[in-house]
Amino acid sequence: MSATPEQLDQTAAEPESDEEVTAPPADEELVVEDLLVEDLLVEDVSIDGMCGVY
Amino acid sequence: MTSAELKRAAGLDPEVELRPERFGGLAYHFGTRRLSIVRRRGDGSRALTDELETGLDAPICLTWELTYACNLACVHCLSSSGRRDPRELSTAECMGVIDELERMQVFYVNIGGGEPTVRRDFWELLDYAVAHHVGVKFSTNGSRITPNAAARIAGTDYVDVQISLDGATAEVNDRVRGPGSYATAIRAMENLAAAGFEGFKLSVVVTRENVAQLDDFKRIADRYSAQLRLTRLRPSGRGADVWDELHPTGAQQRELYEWLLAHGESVLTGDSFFHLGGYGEALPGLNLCGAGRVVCLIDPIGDVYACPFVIHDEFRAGNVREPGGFAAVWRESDLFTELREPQHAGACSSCGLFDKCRGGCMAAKFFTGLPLAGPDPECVLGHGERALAARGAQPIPRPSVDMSKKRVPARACDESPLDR
Repeated sequence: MSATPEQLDQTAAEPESDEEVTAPPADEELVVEDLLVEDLLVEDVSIDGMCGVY
Repeated sequence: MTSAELKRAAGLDPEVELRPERFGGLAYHFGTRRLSIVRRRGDGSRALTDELETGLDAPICLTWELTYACNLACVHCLSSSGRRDPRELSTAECMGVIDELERMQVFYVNIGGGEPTVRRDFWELLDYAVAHHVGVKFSTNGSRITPNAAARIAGTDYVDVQISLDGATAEVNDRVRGPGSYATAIRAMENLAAAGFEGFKLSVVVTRENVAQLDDFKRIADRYSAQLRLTRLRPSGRGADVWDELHPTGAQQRELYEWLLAHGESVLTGDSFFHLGGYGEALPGLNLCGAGRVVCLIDPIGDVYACPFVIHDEFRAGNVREPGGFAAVWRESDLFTELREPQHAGACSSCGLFDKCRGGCMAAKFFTGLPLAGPDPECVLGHGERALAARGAQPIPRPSVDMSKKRVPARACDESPLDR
């Protein structure tokens, strides 16, 4: 469902202070990080030239 | 803004290069030379090799043969090198290719030849690549790794060097690489060690004659604080002429596999022995044929081939001098598009080990006259050997390029000019 122009206006409201933008609550930071880690699969390999040259 | 500038601005590790891909992204660490493949967990159910076999936006790395000129004439040379091709890319053209590789975020290039250091602009190109965030690993016979050159290499970040040696004794090595080549390589390693460059590579092509010397090679590498790198002999270039007599026997292959397994990641292999995975546990690495999918070759005149071991018209995808340059060849050429399609296992489709060996090396099959959809000539189950015996009399493909130095007859009429 798309947002109405009024809703967009509300979400785009100016923050009350700079702090709200630069320093989100610590709990919120943790949640975001957990989601990212959970969502990604990281596989490490040593590639050494992939056949490369003699 | 370049990637390096962005990373600097964001305070990210300059040693790590990040590249988005359709499945997520790649992160390459220049210091450790390790690649991290980042995927969304939901997509992780697909095997990594399957993901990579469908191709990438840019190669992980590529081989670049800067010149066919060489001061040696190794009997197994994969590119039949010897003489310089007058159509060689100029310094400015090479720099243009490096600019393009930087834009595509190719993590590094394996520079070879010929002997790349015989190019007068070699050091200039090396510095240019590093300054443009393209790492360099170059392969050399060591003849120009003087104390000064060694100090220069040791003082340059993101440059690695591998010294070629195909025998742990002069007797074994010089039969393949020519008289005096053992002493030359040892002197180069002494110079690198004296310059304080640790971890350079001692690069060995495993043959029937040197497979019994693996421990000796390791000792030589350790003596100079180098890392041993073993690679597979292919019937490519002049290697086609000596493959029958030099490729390891079945028993030697088994011995090699066990040795590699015992040494793990302490010994590099260029991921070239994945056909041995059929013996059991997979060897370290990606264990797939990356030709035209994650790697390719640029030859001295700018022709782009699927891999350094298939210099043949059938595997030529285009040329960097064409409109669109290297990126167009990599992303749009018919050959590379075809190689990224699901491949048929052919005669191997009913083999329970196919998932381990993936049918082996495309070049080894092609230059021994075997069908690409079928077993590797060195298949650990012996299917390749049987296929070779059943080949019949059809002609075996020869490399499209031969820059070997011509043999000079001892007297004017020793050879018929009509036969040359």
